[in-house]
Amino acid sequence: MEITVKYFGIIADITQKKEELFFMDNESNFLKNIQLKLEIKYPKILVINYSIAVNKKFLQNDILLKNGDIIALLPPFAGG
Amino acid sequence: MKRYERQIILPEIGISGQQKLAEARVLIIGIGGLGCPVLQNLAAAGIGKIGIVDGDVVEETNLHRQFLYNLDDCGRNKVDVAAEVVSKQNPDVEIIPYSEYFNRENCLNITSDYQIIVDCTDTIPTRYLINDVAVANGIPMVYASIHKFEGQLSVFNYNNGPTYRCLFPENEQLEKIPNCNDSGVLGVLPSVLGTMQANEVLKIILGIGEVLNGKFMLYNSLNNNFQTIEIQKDKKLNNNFNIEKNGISEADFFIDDNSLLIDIREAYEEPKLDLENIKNVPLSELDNFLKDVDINQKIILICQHGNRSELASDYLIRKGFANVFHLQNGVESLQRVNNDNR
Repeated sequence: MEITVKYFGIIADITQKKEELFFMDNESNFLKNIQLKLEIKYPKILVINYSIAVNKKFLQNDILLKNGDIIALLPPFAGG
Repeated sequence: MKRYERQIILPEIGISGQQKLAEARVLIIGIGGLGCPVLQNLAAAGIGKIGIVDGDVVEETNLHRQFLYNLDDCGRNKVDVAAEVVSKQNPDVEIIPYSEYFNRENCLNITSDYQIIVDCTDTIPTRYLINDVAVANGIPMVYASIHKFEGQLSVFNYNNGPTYRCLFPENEQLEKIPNCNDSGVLGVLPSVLGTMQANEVLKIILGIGEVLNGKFMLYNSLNNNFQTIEIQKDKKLNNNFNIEKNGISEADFFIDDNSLLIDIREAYEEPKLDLENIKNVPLSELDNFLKDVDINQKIILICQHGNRSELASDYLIRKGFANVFHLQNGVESLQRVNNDNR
């Protein structure tokens, strides 16, 4: 299963890229699984108060992901 | 009216739309990179009254993106310079400068007379405060913020839509998110975002188009990518300040007779309360009214729905008043009790 993850703001500063592809082995993958994977790969995002959108919708609960889903990690911006 | 001819000929605006703009009251918090274009656009369009809040002074490093200011203004209060420049561009507009930072002490007084708040600040704690005050006052918050070459835009708390807290629940361990001073910014980006904020304000006032309500827009100025993400309202969320629970019910309100009853609503708010011993003191006059009142006097605050009175009671408690309560469901609940008793 292939999932695209997009990064914004300070999270893109941490990952040093705007997006990346993740390949998941399991048949069923929850959003929390990929979030865990991301936090292991980029431990600095653990202290960021970011929101997660899947396919252009912010989510408050965990969901089962489908092949081709696009996830966005959005931190608040501070600049004005 | 000649000044507005080119916008009045738009069928969506017309004379009646221009009248709506002239009667509108908008508060802009932060007159920096975002606040300057918001103020310039709204004033030029003929908004009747614009409050501007900022405790900062002009610095040379502001000039590449804050076009209201010039080199001679360095060291002066931003709001004073902004008010002068904009009043010259459009003398029809009443500009109210507040030369102070927006905080928990002044937030209720400053916001009491405005219909829309435009958030142009550069610190996250202030955004939460603006959000909470917008929710308490029942008015929309037009939000934008930037990071390097990216911008975010949304309208929160519009027609009971999602709030800033629905998107970013507050987190105590939050890493400091860098602002423009820390991470840098090219002048055009806040100009783009600020102009878009002004556009949302005008649409709200005119009642035209689609307001960015329940939607969060992202703009990347390097690749011209715009995208919009849907936001859900978090129904479990308590959007109020963390304050002492000192709300009283309608029933308690009617049996109490030693209290100082204060209706903190503005003069134009309906229905008027037909009760003896009630004082009408709008929020902006509350400090002055209470300066001779004993801090142990029992005070009950009343507003329309109980939100503003809750914030105001929190404010008075922090000022040292020991015995402050508020009518938790507001005037509307009293009307219901009155009707039931008849």
